[in-house]
Amino acid sequence: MLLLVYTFSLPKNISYQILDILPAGENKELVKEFEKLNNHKYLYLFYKSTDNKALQELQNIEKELLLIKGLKPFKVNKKIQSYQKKYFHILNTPIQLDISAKEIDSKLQNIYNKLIQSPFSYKIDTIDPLELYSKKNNYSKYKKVNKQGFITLISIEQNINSTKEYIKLYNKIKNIEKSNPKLETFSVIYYYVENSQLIKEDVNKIIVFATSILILLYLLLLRDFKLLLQTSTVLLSSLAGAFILITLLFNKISIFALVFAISISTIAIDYMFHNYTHGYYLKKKPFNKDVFFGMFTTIGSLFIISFTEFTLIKQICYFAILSLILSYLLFTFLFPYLQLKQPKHLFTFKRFPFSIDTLIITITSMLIIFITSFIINFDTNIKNLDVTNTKLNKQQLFFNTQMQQENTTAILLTGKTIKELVDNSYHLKTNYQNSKSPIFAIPSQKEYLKKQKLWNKNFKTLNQQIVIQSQKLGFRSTIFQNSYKINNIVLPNYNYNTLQDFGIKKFNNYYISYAIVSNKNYANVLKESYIKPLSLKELFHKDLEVSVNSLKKLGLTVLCFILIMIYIAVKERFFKAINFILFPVAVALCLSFYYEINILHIFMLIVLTSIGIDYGIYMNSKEFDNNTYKAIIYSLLSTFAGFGVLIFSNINALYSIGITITLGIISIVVLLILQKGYK
Amino acid sequence: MRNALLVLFLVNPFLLAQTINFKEVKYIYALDQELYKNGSIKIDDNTIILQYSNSSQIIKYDDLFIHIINNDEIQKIPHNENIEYSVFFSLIKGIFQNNLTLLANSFTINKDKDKTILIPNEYLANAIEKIEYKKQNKKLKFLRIFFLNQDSIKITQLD
Repeated sequence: MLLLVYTFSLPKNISYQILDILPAGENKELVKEFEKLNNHKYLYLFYKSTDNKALQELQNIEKELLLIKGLKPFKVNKKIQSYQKKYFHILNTPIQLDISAKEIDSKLQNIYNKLIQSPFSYKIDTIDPLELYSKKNNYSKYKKVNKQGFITLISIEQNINSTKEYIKLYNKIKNIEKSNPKLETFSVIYYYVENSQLIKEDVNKIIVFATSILILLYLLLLRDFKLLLQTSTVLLSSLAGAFILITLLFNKISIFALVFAISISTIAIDYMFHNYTHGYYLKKKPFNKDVFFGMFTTIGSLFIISFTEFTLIKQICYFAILSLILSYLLFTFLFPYLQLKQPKHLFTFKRFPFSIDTLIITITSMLIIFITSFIINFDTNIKNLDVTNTKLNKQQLFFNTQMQQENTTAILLTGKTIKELVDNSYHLKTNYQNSKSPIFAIPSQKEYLKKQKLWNKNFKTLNQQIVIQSQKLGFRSTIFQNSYKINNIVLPNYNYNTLQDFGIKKFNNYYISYAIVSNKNYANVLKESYIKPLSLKELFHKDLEVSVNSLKKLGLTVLCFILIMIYIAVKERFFKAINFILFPVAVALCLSFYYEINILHIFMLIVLTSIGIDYGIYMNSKEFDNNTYKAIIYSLLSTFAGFGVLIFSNINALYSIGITITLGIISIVVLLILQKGYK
Repeated sequence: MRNALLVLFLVNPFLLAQTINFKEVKYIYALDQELYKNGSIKIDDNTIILQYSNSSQIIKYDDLFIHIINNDEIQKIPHNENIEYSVFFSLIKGIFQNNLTLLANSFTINKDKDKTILIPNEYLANAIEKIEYKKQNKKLKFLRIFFLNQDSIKITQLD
């Protein structure tokens, strides 16, 4: 079954992208549209040398890189360039004209002096001799970074867009980088390659850790290697079966969902241990009421939580439910026929000589939960769950700073019509300095009408003044005759088909385009009605808040479900059993004193209640004896091996899961040792 | 004083170098005016020094930098930061040392009877239309630079 999964489903159905786990909806679609719109990917090259040969060496490396399939020379978009030329006057005329005759004279004199003094030929701008137009496009292919080196960029072909192709390209580029010690390269595709690699390495590390703990448990404590093989076979078969079934429900399964669901599925070992230590398998009794109650409560809780809109949590719940049901069926109905040996316990569980009253634990736990509900802060920034690639973040910051002078953020521009979209882009361009967008090359009607007044009123006079004054200084009479002379300009057709090269896309009932704005302006830009954020933080802030609220409601429902189940299972020992939920949750909630609580902490708290209640039921069952302690200790150890080990992960999402469950496990052990009312 | 010694140190190797005196006529189209200047160029294997008559400014070109020396003030500029001077000095070096490989880095070289015509590559083609020169018995008869804006410079060796 595993072989089938690995060959046919695993590679193509696993997603390493954070976007795949986000709540579905318009915002997710917008991010996807933006990725299609802005699919220009670049490779930035930084050559750490400024000596005479540096530029030539960089050009040689560039030639070598361009031999790699998937890389092409960077070229400015020709349509945008043609619009910048055609609508030069509209796009560059200042909104106000404020220049005196004295200033005109002094600027012309300055040009005259440069002509005379220049050792070569001095190039005059005969259209804009007074430099009134806004900053012109001064693109230079090789940019010198202060005394450090040169920067340039190469385009990545648009058809390179799968992780597999990124890895291929990444390896080839890195080979060239290795043979050129002065070269440093960066591209956003590096994130896809390196982050996937980091996640894989992390997951591998955790798998090795978990397997080692499990082997120690079975070989040292139980001394039954056959049992380990049989249990592992059941768990792996259940996981493989669950994976095959879940791929029918989802096209892409997040790696986070997979790792977590695999971990949660190890809870199923509880069922085996409880049956095993209490001799159910030897007696060939298939049905254990306590185990059934435990399984039913866990699956019921996961089923309730699966009603969330959050894809990641939905995937985890479905996967875990399927895997737990399969494991339960195999452990309950197959294991009694496997001729297992009588369990050999290496230890006898001993409680502390003193114990704490049930009510004290209940009240203390409730008090902690009550206090933390006031101090708890929720972290709704989904990016914080992703891998932190400090090295690449630093490199990106460096290249961004060098290429664009300041840190920028991408945003979406919207408009009901293309004309409105272009007008909005004009508003952004004029009100927020240093904003950049391909759509800025399209003149807006508003801009045209505003500047037309200026041309008619002031530019004609200005041209005459320049011609007369320049002649007085000794210039050729015709040299400035075309300065500030605006001929009839016809505005472009605001037509969707002709303007798509400018990054315009129809989306639902409106049109969208994108822009890059300075981080200094970002907060204010977001207040504009026509702007939509593109950062995952802002986009999914509301969605996540909704998800957190819905999880809170689902959590309450789970709690009610559990309380009913406990009452049915243990009746008069209700409070003793409920402490197995309250105390672990209270201890885990203490995390809010140190961290902001994220969506996975909340999810784990709910899961913790489901696990806790299994033990609550076992510990307060009529069948309770010293073997119950042993079953729980074995289960706790295997639960820790399953997903407590995630505490060692460098990925925040997995660490959050690990720390919560580890605190939960520790608190359950404390209850086993200290809670009053057990032998 | 220190700078004066530095100038002396910089210029010193040229005591042994080849010195060429020249006359320059620069036509500025925008002013419809011709400017006349005399100057000298000193060339050795690695350096070139340019100085105009009636000017205290000395411009020195070496493998790494362009040094602009005004009395006690010295400006040291990497080649890529003053493309005009870099091209001019490469041109002078290429022509006087018959280094056609150096010229071929920036120009396409054509021969027209006894004169050589240089057509600039992609980058220089934005400013220079063409360059013509004629050498006879190691002496530069003329060097003409035609700019796209209709300016031109003609240099003739005097001695």
